[in-house]
Amino acid sequence: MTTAFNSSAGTAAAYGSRRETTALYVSFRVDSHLMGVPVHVVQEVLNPHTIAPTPRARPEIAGLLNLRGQIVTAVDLRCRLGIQPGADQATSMNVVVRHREESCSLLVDEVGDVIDVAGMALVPPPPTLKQSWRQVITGVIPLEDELMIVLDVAAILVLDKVPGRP
Amino acid sequence: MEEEILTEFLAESWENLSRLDQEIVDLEKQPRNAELLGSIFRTIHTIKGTCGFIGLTGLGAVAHSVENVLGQMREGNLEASPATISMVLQGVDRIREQLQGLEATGEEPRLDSRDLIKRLDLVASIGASGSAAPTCSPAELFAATKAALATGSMEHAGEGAELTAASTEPAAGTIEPPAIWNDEIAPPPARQQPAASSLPAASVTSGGASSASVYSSAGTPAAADDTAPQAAASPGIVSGGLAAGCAAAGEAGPAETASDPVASSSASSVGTHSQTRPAGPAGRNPVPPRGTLPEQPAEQTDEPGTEKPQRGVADLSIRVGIDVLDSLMNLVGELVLTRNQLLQLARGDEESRYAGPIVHLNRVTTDLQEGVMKTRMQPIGNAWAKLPRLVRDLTHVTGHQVQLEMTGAETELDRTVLDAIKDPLTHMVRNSVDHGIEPPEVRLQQGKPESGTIRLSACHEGGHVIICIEDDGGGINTARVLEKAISKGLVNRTQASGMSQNEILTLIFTPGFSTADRISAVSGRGVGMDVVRTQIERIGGVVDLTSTEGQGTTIRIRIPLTLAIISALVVESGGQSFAIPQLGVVELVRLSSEARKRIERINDQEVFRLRDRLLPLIHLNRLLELEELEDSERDTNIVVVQVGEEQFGLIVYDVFDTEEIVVKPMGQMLKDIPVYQGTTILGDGRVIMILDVAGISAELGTTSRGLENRSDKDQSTEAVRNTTSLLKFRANSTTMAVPLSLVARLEEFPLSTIERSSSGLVVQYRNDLLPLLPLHSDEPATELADPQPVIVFSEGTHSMGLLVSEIQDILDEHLVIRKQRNRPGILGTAIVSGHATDIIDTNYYITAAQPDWFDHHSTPVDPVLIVDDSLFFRQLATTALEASGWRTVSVQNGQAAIDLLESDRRFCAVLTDLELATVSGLELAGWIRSRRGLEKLPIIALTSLDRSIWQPLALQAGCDCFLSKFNAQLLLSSLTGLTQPDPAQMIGATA
Repeated sequence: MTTAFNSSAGTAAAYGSRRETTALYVSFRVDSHLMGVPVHVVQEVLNPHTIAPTPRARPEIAGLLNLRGQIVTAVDLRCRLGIQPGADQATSMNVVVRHREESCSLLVDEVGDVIDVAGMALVPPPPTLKQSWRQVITGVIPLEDELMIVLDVAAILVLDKVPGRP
Repeated sequence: MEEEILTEFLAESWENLSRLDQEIVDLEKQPRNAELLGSIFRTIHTIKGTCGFIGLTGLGAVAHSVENVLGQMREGNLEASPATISMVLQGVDRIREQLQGLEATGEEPRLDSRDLIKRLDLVASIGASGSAAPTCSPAELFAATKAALATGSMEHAGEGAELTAASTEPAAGTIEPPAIWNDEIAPPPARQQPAASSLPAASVTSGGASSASVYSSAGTPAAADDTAPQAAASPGIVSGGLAAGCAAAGEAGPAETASDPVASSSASSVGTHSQTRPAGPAGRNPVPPRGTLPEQPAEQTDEPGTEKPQRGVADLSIRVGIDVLDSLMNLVGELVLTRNQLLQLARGDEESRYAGPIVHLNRVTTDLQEGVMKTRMQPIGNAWAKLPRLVRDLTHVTGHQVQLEMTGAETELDRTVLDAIKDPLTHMVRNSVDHGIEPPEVRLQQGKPESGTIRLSACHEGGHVIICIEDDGGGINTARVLEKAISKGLVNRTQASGMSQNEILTLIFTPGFSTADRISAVSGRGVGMDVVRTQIERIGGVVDLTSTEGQGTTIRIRIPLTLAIISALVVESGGQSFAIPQLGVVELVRLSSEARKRIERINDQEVFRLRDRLLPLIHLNRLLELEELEDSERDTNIVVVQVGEEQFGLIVYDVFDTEEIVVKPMGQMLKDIPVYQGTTILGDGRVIMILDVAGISAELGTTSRGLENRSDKDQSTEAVRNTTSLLKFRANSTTMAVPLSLVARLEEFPLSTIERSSSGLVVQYRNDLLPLLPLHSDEPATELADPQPVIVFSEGTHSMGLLVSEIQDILDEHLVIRKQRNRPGILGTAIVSGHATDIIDTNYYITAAQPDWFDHHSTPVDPVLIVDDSLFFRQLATTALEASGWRTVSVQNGQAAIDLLESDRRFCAVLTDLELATVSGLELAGWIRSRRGLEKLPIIALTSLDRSIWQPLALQAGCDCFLSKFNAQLLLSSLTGLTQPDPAQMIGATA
């Protein structure tokens, strides 16, 4: 999907056909960072939801939520990215993503707009970035006034890769 | 080709094939059952037809040849003998292989089936070869059909709907499977000719006995085994059939081979086809399967449209994807929740105009829930379908004769359960055939019928399904089981002597156990019954085995009807709710705050005396790493759960109701937590975790180490792993360890109970005074903690307590003393879990606490000679023995021991390791036994070597006793036992 964002994608024809799938990103904030995931992996966005704790699960797993009878595992993005816990998990928004036939919710601080990045470049993460971050980031899209970090959902949901854990 | 059609084809074919094996095996028993034959024929025909439609040429060719053979059988030209049936089964197997390949890759695998096809055609030709005319007739027929197709196929292939509409059209009926029909199917008759003519002195067309010889010599080696005797012994079967059917076969037989369905389905067809047609109605066409004539056109026209085949009950059912049912199930769950909320809102307002509709909604929802549940149920017969074939094949391999009887195949189970029991069932039936049923000659000797019987039955029993597998074979020889278990080191002789029949039988479920004397292709590799049990228990089932030697074995399995909706007990622990499947719950015990004293401790394990058994207790909140609200006034709730034979108690904060819950699988990211088996949503919408009792038990099995468990079982495992259990504790700032075998109990005393006496600190303990000593250390003694942890060492009626700062852990370590210390009270330093740790010398402290400790024994005055190359074990043994009043002398190799013994020093016993430098333990024992005056000196072998191998060797070499390293109690009792028989001599010797 990165191909659509190479700087060559300047003409309308170049991205027109891909617009639906890769040019739109659901944006959200985690701590001070603006992050995004492709719109096609997002199932829905939910207001703060009751999350049932799962004792003995990895700390990144905030718990389970009941999404109309479907049980969804919630991943605390702050914890996953090694950011200090926020004020209150109870106010976290849920970005529910589909991955490998399963729904997972990413807990974020707030949800922003769906951003159309057609024509913008997706730059690889800077090599100086922490390895733990680089592993879960597809790249960075420099928006006009801010950088949007594009998360690799598949990598985010693989908890084995978290450094420092067996 | 379109994927959807392919998927549909695969699903349909698998369904058909699973029934096919059973039917073919049945056919073998009732060769004249025309209905059965008709059904088999139609199944193969459907597969062939669909293959033609979607262009699976290889598969279609095999199916076609199988169909030919079946066609001959149906016409009565060919006997359904074991030999011919084997050929058909081979064909079916190839079809299955092709389908598997197709399913895996989406493309038809390139398997070379020419050989198989040749053989099948040869078999078919025997039926058809009654007269000369028919042999060429198929070729003619093909040519004719081909010609017809040349004009018709282009416009009709693939246009199913049109075909249906146009079925009265002359050509339409004749275009059965297009394309391949011409190119692929036509060659076999042509090929069959050279194959047949290459056989020496045999002619396909000559009929009679010679056709039988063609038959047997043309078979594959495998088939030849089967067919040769058959053919030789009874050429009449084949030829007889031939003779009888010959005349009719002349007309109908070949017609059948080539285009039976076409012929039968298109009574109105004319044109090229009518060339063969007249023979049909005039001849023997209306055999019983043709009774279903009206459905044939439907089947044919269906093929291009890929509709389901229509047969019997199948007319009344449709195939629905599991995911559709699962999502329905979810939706119903949602509906139930909403209904519950509505009910709650309407409660107390009887006058509401919503009340009536809500009551109705309630009822409908309940019915709907039940209905959806039912859609997931399948008859257990689906899991059994493969067994008759399996048994048939096994009887051929093993030479045992077996009848398989099945009752209750209609018993319904949830499909997930069904999937889970398929493998265990197969395994158990295989076991019964291979190990259970004796060879025919043995059975006859014992006055049993030559052929054994395996009875498989299923029935419902109160929310469970009971499956029984019963055989009338030789039963299980418990003596042999026991011997095997001992030789494999699963139990030792002492344990074995006390085992009941039932306990011995359960050994069969131990991993790595198999009593088969030989390893056959079928079973006997020592994996199996343990896996069976694990699999059954994983779905909450119970396996029960009974066996009477000489009479047979019965295995009874009790499994839940469904895994999707279970009855569960909802409990609270650490402020959260959890569900425990009711299946594993034995009883609930509530203890008032006074009665809580009845919870006792062994080491750090809490146990409760529940009637006659000691129930280990586990705090659920600790297991789940949750903080518990401490409330000493509250009653203590214990949920007693059972896993296999084991029971344990889960201490929970509160117990709520039993609820029917819908089990939802865990997300991928939570799957690795062993203590949960799933999640569920409660009536109020809360998500809670369902505890996996078996998982908890498995986890405890590795983490909990109550002293009560440290029986011989643990010793044997220790012997194997060559590790020592160590208790790790902290004293001031130092981490230290002591071998757990020397520890009696761990206690915590409130500071207020510790008193100061003239000789030091004491505490009143079990109606006695327990002297307390601090660890000897250079650091200044620190303040006592409250409560103060104490390690208690006991001997006889005497005990002493060692004051420590904190008990940390119990570890199994391979102990090597790395460094010796000269400090008093320390044996040395070892690496324990990666850290250098001082191992304390209990002997030092015991002596310090009670100088008179040793006076209570009338132990021999002569010392025990300890021979061990490990300093640690020398010290450990010394400590253990001297603590009990024995005197010891230790040396580190066999030569040193011999030198000492030669110097006429007197010893009351020798305790020796077996692995020693220069002179081994066995040689030392041999030397002692050969030495005048030492013949009766007790020798104890103390080793970490494998008992099963070394014990006999040690005893043979002259040792009196074989002990595993290291259990102090056992050592002491053995030593006492060995030295006591003749105390007079001992005293006399020292006098």
